[in-house]
Amino acid sequence: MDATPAAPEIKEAERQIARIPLVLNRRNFSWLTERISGVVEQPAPRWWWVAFTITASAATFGLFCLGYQISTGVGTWGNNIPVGWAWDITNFVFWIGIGHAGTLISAILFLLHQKWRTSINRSAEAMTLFAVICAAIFPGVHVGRVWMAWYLAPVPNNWAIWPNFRSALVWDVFAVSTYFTVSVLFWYTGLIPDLATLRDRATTKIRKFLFGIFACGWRGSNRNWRHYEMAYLLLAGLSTPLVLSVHSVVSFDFATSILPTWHTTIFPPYFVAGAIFGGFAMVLTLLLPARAMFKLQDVITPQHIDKMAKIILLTGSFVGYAYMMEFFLAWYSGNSYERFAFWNRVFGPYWWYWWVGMLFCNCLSPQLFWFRWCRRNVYVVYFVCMCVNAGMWFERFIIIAGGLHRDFLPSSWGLFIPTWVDIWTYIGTLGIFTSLFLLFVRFLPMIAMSEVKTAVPEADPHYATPPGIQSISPRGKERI
Amino acid sequence: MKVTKVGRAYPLSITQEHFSIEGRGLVREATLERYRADNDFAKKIPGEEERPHQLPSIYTHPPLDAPQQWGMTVDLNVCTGCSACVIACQSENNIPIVGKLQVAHGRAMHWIRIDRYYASRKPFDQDRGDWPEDPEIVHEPMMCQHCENAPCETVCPVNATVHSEDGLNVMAYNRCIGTRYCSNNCPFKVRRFNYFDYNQRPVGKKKIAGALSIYEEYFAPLTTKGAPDIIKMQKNPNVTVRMRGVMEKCTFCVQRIEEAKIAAHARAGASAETLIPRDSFTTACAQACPTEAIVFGDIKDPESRVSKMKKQDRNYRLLEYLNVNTRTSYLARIRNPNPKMPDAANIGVASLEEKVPE
Repeated sequence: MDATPAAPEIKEAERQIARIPLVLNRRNFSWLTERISGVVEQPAPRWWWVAFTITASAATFGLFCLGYQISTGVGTWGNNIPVGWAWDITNFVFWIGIGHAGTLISAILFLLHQKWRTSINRSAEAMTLFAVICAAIFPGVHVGRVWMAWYLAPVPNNWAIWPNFRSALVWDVFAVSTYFTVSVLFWYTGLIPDLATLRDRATTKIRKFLFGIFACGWRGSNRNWRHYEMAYLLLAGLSTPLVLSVHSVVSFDFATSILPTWHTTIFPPYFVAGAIFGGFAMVLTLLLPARAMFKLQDVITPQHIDKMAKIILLTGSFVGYAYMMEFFLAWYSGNSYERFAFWNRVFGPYWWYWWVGMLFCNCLSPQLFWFRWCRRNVYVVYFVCMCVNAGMWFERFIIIAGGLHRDFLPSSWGLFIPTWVDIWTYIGTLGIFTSLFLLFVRFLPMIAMSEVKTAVPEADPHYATPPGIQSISPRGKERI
Repeated sequence: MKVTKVGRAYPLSITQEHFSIEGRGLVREATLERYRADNDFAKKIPGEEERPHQLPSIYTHPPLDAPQQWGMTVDLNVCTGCSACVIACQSENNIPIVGKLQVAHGRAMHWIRIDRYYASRKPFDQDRGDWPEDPEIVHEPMMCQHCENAPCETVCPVNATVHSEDGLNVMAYNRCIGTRYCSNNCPFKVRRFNYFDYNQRPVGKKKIAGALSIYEEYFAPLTTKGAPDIIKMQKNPNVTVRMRGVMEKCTFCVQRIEEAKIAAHARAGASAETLIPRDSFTTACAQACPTEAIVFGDIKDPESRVSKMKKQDRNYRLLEYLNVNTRTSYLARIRNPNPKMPDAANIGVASLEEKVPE
């Protein structure tokens, strides 16, 4: 290397093409450990209690609604004939879709060596699990006889009746349970080094004991790391097809039916793109406040938000394209039932769901992310994410109830009107989701410490602190 | 007598809100004149040409190898829409009464319903608030069509709705967990779901809870369980009652088929003559129909009444383009209005080949 000082214009050019560090302000290993563990170790801030009280109350009331619905009948919801599925399956698809961003971040971006994932993967994976938990509630309780739902499992029984393997609902059971299992394993495997950190820093016996149990005797030895990294790589490989398969299978619930607007081969890629789209919006919805509340702006940087916004723009444009293609194919098919169903989507009784949810929220609002200023402004990002969250829910409702309410025979056309039980069950799952996330940030490191440390310059064995720059490492407990 | 506007609306509990047939060729109708000009008009309704080419199927179909195969025809020519079939079916098959609130919510339980459409020579868009001009009313009894390629069967995750060898689409109530997927995939929307425990809990009676007046079915766990004896005695002992959370639908009166089969076997003794005698029994709806519009029987027997009906040129099946192969077919309606009647031009217009341009 030439040690002669470069000309100022070369310096300027170097500055421009230099990679922006993933952790800002030269935060070192020690700062990362202190700050991230500090969230777990220090007493919960007051806002946490306020938020948790609200979300846990919503969750509790949601569980009451579920109990009421199970004890009284599906009739407590607004479902009817023709609209046999409405908010129940809408919520199922909504939640299962949200999970996909977590798996994409943790598995696909890992395999593609996208180091920026390290700041967000832990909370995105946790979000995946909580979203899948919320999703799993609905197929379970939407059935008329919940206590018989085990018929869905291929359990040998004395009548020699198996599930109907031709039914997409059975595929769903396998897809979702596989997804949940692999996601839990992946998340837990990634947690082990960080659990060991918390164990080593624990000041109480209980913490030491519990973190000790779950850290599986991690010592940070070379051998430990070798096994860990192999396991992580294998799990990433296993999870990667799940990103594509789970929502494809969910879309088969509709694609394998004969209903106009459901019976379409475009659904698997359309649903997967929509799932990643909605999932990234939810990751940002959770992380933008968490980042501000726990002062983690140096770890979850504008660069991270910018990258996620670009993914939202990309997948949102896929989704917009899929919507256009649906209309084109309905027209091109020449099938009058298909044509009517799409006409009805835009101008029928649920017209505003389409205009607001699908057109404005899903297609138009992410287009703001073409502009750098919008990707860098957290308020704009948050606004778009909220639009996408709402829009993706509307999209599923339009597909499900919108497809059902007017099908082949006009005599059986009807409408769906939600009851208070529908509404509160949904709010209840929002409560369950946010409560679990709040518990997660309190009890587990919300950022993968061991992984994010690989993304700072110190991780390079040849790294030396440049002369004249002091590494910032505030010792002692900094109150958040 | 005086009619005055009271300025208030009263919500009606009706089972059918949309009365336009939307040009879908569901009820096929012609004047005698047109029928004479083209005997096969019923098979030339727009939409039929959309039937896909027969492709090799990757599904194995249950064998339809029983000696007798059940089917039905509904002659729209003679159906008057009187609804006797609806009531006969209700009492034969222990169909619960759900009360007007649940009817308003779209949860009527009838296994057979009378679809009623208003047809007019001039097309109208009901969604835009148009009303048909000089409408005629057409009726179409609608019940499970017993599709041979039944869309409901492939989607049921627990194998609760399957096909029998004699061509019935049957329900195993004990196996049903109530996902409602079958109903969603039924193009005729003839499946009915027990949204509440209609047979075990009081239904349709208002109960005052504080200032709220809520129907009793919404308090189900707090109400007394069990039907009164008088209600139990009203039930058909040959047919089960269904619990909440279970899907149900027309069975082609499977209890009558089984009864006839058992009787035939008993009569046959050691001989091989186990077939049910031709047209010796029928379904409750067909039995009650005052105009004999509904005909049920063995479609494998070319001499049965139903086979003869199906051979008529007026015979057509609904939604053939879906390739569902329905066992129930309809006979087109032929009208012969007296041309001197003032509204003669407005009769027989439910499935005009060419709608008169506006």
